[in-house]
Amino acid sequence: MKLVALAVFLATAQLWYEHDNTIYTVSAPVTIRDAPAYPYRGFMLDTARNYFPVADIKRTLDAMSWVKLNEFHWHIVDSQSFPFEIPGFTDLAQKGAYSSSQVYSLSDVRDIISYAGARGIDVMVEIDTPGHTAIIAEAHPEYVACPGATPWATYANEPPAGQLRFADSKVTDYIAKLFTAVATIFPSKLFSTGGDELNTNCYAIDEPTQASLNATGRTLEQALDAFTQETHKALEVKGKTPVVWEEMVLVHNVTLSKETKVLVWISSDNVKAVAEKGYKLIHAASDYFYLDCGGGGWVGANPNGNSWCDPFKTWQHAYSFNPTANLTAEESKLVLGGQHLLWTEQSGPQNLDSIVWPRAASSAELFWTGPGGNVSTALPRLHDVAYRLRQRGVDAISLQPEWCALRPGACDLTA
Amino acid sequence: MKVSGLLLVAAQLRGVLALWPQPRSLEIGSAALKLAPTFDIHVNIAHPPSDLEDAVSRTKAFLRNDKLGRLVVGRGASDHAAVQRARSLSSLQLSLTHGSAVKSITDETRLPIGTRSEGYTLHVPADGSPAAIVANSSLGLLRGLTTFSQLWYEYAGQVYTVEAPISVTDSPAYPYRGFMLDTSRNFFPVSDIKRTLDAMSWVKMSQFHWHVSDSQSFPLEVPGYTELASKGAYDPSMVYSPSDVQDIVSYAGARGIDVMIEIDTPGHTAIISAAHPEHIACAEASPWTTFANGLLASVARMFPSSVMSTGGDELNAECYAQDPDTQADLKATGRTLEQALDVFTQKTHAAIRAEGKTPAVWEEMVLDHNVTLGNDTIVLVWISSANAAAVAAKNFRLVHGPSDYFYLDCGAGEWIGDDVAAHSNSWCDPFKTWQKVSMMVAERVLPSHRGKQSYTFDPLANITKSQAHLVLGGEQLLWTEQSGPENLDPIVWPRAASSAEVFWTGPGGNLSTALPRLHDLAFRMRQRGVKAIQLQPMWCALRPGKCNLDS
Repeated sequence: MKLVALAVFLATAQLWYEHDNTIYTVSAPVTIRDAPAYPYRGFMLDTARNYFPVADIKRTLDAMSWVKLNEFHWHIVDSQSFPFEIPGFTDLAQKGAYSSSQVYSLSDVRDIISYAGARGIDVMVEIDTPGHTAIIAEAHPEYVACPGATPWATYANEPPAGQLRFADSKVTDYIAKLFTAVATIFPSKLFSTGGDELNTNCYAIDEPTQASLNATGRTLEQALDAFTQETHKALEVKGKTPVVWEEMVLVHNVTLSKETKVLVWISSDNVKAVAEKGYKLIHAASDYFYLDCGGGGWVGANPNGNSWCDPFKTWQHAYSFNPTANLTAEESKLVLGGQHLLWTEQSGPQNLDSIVWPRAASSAELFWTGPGGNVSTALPRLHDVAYRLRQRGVDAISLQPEWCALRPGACDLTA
Repeated sequence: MKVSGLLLVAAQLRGVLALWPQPRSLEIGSAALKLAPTFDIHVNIAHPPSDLEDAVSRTKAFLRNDKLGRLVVGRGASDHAAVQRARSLSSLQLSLTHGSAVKSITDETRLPIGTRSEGYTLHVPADGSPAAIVANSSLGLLRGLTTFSQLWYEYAGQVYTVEAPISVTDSPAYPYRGFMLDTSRNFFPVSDIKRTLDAMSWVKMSQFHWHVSDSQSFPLEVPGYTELASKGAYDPSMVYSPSDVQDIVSYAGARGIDVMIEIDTPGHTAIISAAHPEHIACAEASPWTTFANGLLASVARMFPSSVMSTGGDELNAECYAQDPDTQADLKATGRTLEQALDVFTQKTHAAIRAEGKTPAVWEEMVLDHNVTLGNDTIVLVWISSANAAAVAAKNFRLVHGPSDYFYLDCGAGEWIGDDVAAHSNSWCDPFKTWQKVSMMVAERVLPSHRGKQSYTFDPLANITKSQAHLVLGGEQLLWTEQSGPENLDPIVWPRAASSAEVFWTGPGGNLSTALPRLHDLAFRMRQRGVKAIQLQPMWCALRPGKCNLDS
């Protein structure tokens, strides 16, 4: 009931305008019956490539709530930094955070979780494993294969190289315990263990990994399976449902519980394959929902570099997404919803609001209202959202010259 | 660019001293030196100009407040022991060379382009004896102070460098080092413009090209023509009054920045119809020319710069073909549209010349239209870098502003509505990175440079030696269909600093060593309240060279 009340509050809060100190609407009477088309309507923030103070996360949660988004996917750690102070594992942040002030303490995390909850937002934390873990070598060099190996492009998707030695049972135990500790902190039922972009060259040159595999007579894939099963079991014991990136289903041969949810990110083309395997899925396609595309290549000594997922994904493009494209009616039932995502190699607090808003609102509508919206009539409404966001202290970007915002339809392609 | 051997050795040891733009001659050492608590700056000029004294105050404030930790793992913890033991610097002495006239920074800044003295020398001894900046002008002293303020880092309350002694001899390769802001498509409050001028001054930029009006809004309150803003501004609060303009112009001048106003004509003027429907789609009719002359002259009086732009880009002939008034006027006078444009241009340029201005125009006025222009007219090359040679061949002075390298707005998708196609991109896609600026010559002209990773935008590519003097410099540009105050800083900085270095330092820079320096600049800008965007994960910023393509 409380969630319903919140939704009603939010809906009515968008009805009102102001002129000459009078607050008014010109649309009375208003009758609304509303309910979301999809239960998972999210936004993912990467706080590892660059750090975001708690205030920035809270402001983002505010903006999310204003468009009825309900899942904050917190990609909290990665190869470049480990800002999360996990009780029992505090050396990871001590050695892996960018600085002692660029951390999320336990109380910060609880603060964020409760701030989110009060706004109807569930927080799904992601501890991405076994790839994307170079930073763990700062505290535990013995747990990481190919740390800082060069050239990085041979051993990783981006610098620095370094991945967990998951063939080592000590590493598996360690991660299982770490997951348990994190699962205790986050009340959500959803917990992402990542699983994307595993680089096998890294393990081919890693003697300890090769020794482990030889000793146990396993292949890398079999070791990955064992690692996944054990670490996921630790989560299931805590009542969590694991959420993984698509490679764990499409590229690797691991045993996953049927309850596991899958984030489809490489391409919207891969949705069908995941659905055919019977997993519930969350849309996160780079060709529609990656907010970071189009900002140029960020690695150095590469003057002609574009972003890998060029071009920039406009709100219009995301808005046109069909969540059940190519899916049968049965497969369509597996679609939980979707999210926009901000990877932060080239973002920070300075541009957080303007790169996320109001674009992320386009998926908020897609997954609340359902697909097939009219992009022409959506634009004036999205302008309105952007203006209201700015009035409320979120620095949403200008979508068009203000001249256009004041004249709906006048700046359309065929106007 | 001359870089001493000593610098190269030091570069391998601890990274290149993070100055931006790179001084044209730089020698550094490896001694730690800290600022004494009593550190002060002394101006050895009998009656120093007040804007120079203000620059000194600002510099002292930066030294106190930047509090920038060196971009290495530990942010300077490893320097601590050496800094504790280090000598202290108590003073910086500013002097003019013997016989130099004492002009204010502002007055020197507004001299005709190419005649301003901006060079300086800077010496910071390692033994704690006074540092010194010497220049031929107050403007040169300002440029020296700007460099001085980039030398210092902070750790545990100590402000220090680890690269003393430092010796700089510096002057710009090109006089026009600019940034253009479009305040018409979306409005920018005065404080955003001032903050941008601050950031520009920190990288020694010298020209603010203010594209104040366009088809979508007219925010400039022009004396005698106030109806243009009262009918054409987005809102009464979204205007630039004459006192706002004076404020901005003097803020700029004190920071060594000349303000070139642009009233884009005859295209890009739809908004004027809100006040004067009779003047639009009819650029040549006499009342419009009279109107335009008066308007441009009144605007010219608001701006002290010696240069003013009348625009002249993207003229749409179809508009005039369909306009009965224009067609009637052309028939009555027996002119073609081009002839009418010529008349219009000659008259409007005469009007601003009468106010002491040299006109600047976009390239079409020289390359596409057949208009008579004074041979001191400055031409902004924007459509493509390839067009610079054509403008030089016509013997006009030129400013580089090519969309294929310098447009900051490219790569953010199409802003026009109802355009869903999978690749509805910005017209000048892709996004122009700071690195891209470096490839201008390598791709276009010199096969030997193709594919080479050198930070070498060549302002003289395809331009003969005898034409070289025509190149005044260049600017990066922000068109604001999809930008506003909310993203101004991150979309401009630190990218706009890349051309600031190309035109100050000249070509020949090293792309790999430029990146750590650009990171440093971005971090320092953020410390000073300008929200420069993150270029890479912070992990990379703290480990120079680790996140290159071939690292």
